Amino acid sequence: MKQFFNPKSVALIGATDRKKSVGRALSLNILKGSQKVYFVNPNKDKIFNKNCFNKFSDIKDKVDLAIIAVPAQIVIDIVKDIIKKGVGGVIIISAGFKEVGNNKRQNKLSEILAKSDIDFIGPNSLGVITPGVFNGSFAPDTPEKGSIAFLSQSGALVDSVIDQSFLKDYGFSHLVSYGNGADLNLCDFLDFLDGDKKTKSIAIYLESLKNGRKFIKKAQKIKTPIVVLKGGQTRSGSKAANSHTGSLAGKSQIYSAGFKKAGIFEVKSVDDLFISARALSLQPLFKGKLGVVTNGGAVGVMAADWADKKDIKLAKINNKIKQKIKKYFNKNVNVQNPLDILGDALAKDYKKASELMLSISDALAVFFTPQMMTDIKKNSDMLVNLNKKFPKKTIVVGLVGGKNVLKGSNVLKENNIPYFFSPKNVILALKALKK
Amino acid sequence: MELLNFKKSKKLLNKYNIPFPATKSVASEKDLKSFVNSYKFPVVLKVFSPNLLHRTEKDLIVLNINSYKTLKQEFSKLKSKISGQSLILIQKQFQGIELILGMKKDKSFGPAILFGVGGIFVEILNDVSWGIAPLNLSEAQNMINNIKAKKILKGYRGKEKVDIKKLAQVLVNLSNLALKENYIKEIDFNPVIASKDKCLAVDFKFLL
Repeated sequence: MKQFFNPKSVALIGATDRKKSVGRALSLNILKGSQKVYFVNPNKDKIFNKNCFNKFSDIKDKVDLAIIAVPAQIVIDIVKDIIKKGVGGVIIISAGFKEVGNNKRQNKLSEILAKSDIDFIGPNSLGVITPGVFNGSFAPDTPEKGSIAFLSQSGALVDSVIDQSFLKDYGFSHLVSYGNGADLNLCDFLDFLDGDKKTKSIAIYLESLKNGRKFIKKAQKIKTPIVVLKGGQTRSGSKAANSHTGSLAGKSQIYSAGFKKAGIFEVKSVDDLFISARALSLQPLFKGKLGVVTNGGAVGVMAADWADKKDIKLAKINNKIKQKIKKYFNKNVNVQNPLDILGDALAKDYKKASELMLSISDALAVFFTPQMMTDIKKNSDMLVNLNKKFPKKTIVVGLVGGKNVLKGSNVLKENNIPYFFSPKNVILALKALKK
Repeated sequence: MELLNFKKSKKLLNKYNIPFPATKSVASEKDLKSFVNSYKFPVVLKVFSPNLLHRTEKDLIVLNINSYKTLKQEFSKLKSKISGQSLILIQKQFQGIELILGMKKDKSFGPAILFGVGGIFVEILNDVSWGIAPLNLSEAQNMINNIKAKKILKGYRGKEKVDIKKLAQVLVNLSNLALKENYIKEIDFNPVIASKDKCLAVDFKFLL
């Protein structure tokens, strides 16, 4: 499957420089990479200073990947020409197949490609992106490199997620808009990504699965953690149901049961999808109990509320640790978990409190609220060291504020410590990280 | 959709170790008598018909029968209401918590198994959880622990506890049945009566 993510040579059928066209966006994105590029367009001599081929089979060299962005009516003729010459793989960008009810056209396409044994992505795909390596899509932007792989049934959502990612500090190993999934589908991509060193977590957006049972079996074998968002959550069993069970059987309930069996973390929004995927790409999973350190009581209370709601148990502070906390904080610190070390806590106090809490818990949530004495940058530097000292413990940070807390974000990002801006999201991240 | 007939339904329950109360098809007063001689009161009378799913609405079920007099009266009343392929069943009555166990075959995931609070209000209460077959014991126990009413099962206000392990085993057996008996599209065991030592499919319907 390498030919789709890191091809040596790419041909674009339907290349064009016509303004506001899919073909132009694809042409420009493909030219950004270091691949050998061939443009195919029988009506043009040159596009962006590159000579055009009349048809794919006119290209003499071996081509790894062919991307088709032509009107649906001529896709099948193009595919026949591609098969004549041979190619490593095909991405079909063109829409106008099953998604608009044209099953016949899609089945014919699948049939022809299956006979030739050529793998393909699509149709109705935005394309494939490996940031820093290859952009075979018509997305308006290329996201940052990172360790999250994103697989999406929807192409438009990929654009939206790329746009958000710049503001939320995450990057991608690969992005795949698999569209109608007529050939290569989720299971194939999971296989590839599980063996991919750059990918640390997999985020999936889907609306339906053709073969849920096969998906469960595949996902159970994948070691890379997976988060899924299923679009279409309304509960509606079959309206004219014959049995009680039938009338209770909503699609989303059955999918949720499937995800649970597959050992996949399910979320209900795009925000939550990437909060979870980011946490999973950066921190180890944990089994057991959580410790919370904060310099603001309310934030601790809310974190405890969310932990309770999400069924995450807080660690009990034993007597030995209790004495140590009392000894260090010879002020009126209330010794409990969440541990509120008060508004004047400095980085060294956070260090002491965090280490003591880590000695009794498997995961740690540290919250900074921007108070008069709070040095967010120094606190964040301290956490970087703590994270290095305890590589097997799970650490998630809450920067509970807006403008001022951002002073910690750069150093945390560079050192692979996930941070979020609310107790709710910190606890969600921890829920995703819980075995 | 059609129902699997009574005889075959009973066979399936036995084959997959899904317990149910003593239940017999009765045609005469003599049948009633011999059933009561073996199993004692209280008993239930109900109609089984291959195209009848919900009985409560049609008054085709009589609970809490404790004497021969009532039994005979209700039997003849039911007899006058039914026709064709319908049977009258007599069943030993048990007390316990009413649960629902069920199965719906999904196009993508195959047999999906349902567990929840049973009775005639299941759709309104909608306190259920789902699993995908095959279920192992721990998956079945998780399904049981995932409903809001789980506290009731664990003994609420001095009421007796339900045997959760036994219940989980029935869920596992149901999931095996659903996988192997491929021709069955939906299953309703509603209610299943659960108590400290029993877990009985009181009502069982297999949809073809």
